[in-house]
Amino acid sequence: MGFDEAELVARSQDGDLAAFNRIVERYQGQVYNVAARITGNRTSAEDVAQETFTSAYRSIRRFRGGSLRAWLARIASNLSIDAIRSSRRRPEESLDEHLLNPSFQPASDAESPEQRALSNELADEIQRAIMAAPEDQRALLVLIDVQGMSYEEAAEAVGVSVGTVKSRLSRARARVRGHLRQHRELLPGRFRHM
Amino acid sequence: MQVVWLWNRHRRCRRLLSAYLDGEATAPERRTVAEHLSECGACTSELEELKMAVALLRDLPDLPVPRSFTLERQPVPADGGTGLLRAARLATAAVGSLAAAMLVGTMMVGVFIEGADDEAAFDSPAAMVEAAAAPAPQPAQPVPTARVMAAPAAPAAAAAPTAPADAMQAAVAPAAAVEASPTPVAAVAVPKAETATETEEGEVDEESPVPSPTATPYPSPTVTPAPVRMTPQAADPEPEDEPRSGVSWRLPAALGGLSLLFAAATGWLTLLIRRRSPW
Repeated sequence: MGFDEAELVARSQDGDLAAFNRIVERYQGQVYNVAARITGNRTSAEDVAQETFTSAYRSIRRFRGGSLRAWLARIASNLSIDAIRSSRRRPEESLDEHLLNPSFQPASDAESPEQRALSNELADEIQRAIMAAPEDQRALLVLIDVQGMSYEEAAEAVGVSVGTVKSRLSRARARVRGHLRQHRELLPGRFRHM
Repeated sequence: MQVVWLWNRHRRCRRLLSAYLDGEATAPERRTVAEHLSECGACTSELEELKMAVALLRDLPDLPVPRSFTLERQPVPADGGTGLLRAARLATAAVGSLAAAMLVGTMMVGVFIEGADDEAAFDSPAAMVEAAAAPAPQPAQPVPTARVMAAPAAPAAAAAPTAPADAMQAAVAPAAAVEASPTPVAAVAVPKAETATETEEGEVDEESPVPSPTATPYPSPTVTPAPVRMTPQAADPEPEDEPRSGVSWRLPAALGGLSLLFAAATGWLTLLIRRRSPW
């Protein structure tokens, strides 16, 4: 049961689908969340996640080590950006109506209904702030600030230098900050005085 | 000056705040930002707001995965499904490249040949005009001019498309040679005249007794050398049946070729772009 990642990769490269599915199970949450946060659309995110793993399986032989998480995030973010671009050609599809539906947000038993509503509304605004960023900045915002990747890992995932990561992330965060300043009433108490 | 320096440092520090917050700034950058933060309330406030924004982003809940994305069966053999497509793309690109190379080669040959002709005919227009106004010169190069003379005089010369143009250049060349004397132009004209006579070997009268530099169809030793504008008509007994100059049809052909080349290059680039894989 306790295969390490390198062994799973090696067995997947030999065509072992069961081993590859172990990788899928390990990373599907991250891949789905990356896709959902970048596209802002639940249906698109599902398609992107499935296509990510299908593409990864097809090309696993070309994986030459490094961070498997960054490699999968790279496939997912590229496919997400492709999905955004193709959805622009179909304006009838709203990008964020599914993801921003409060019922889609996980509920916490510790919250009162009012707090939960406020929390959901804040999450919606944060997602809108993410969606307001250009695609290249958005991917880094999601990978570093939402997924918690390091700058190096994100640089590998996006295929840019660490210096580029710094500057793009700085601009993306400035955007989010500006967006949230307009919705101070939604901020938790510890942030409202700002 | 001091204000500008302070303003630049303020802007630089604002750009560094994000990396400073994550501990990703270099040591000198950290020092610069720390010094600036101690004296700039706006940047201090901005740093606090950035901290808030990052904290809220990190607090975003993980979205629940709606279903499993495990693969139930091998969708396609690993690396095998795209092999045919890749081969088709490469074959198309190879054919496109070959076509482009052939096109370029053909165009270059045409342009070089025509460029040599054009050089001989239009190398020094001023010299040609002056030569036209000058009295009839004695043939400086009797042998080549005699051979050129023969070309328009031959009845079958009109059938060869390049003969009039070459004869025109040969007619102009001696005039320029007389004016500018030694002979770069005449030297160029010689092989051209020979080429013209060689292409019509049967019809050329190598023994023509009239050693005149003119290319008119009327073999008179006293005819003045043709000015630039008259040479095509003078050298060409039936101008409407033949191209007056290679430039007139080769230029559009070259432009068309360039367009095709551009189309081929675009197709190639499109293929490359479409080949980009998500990984």
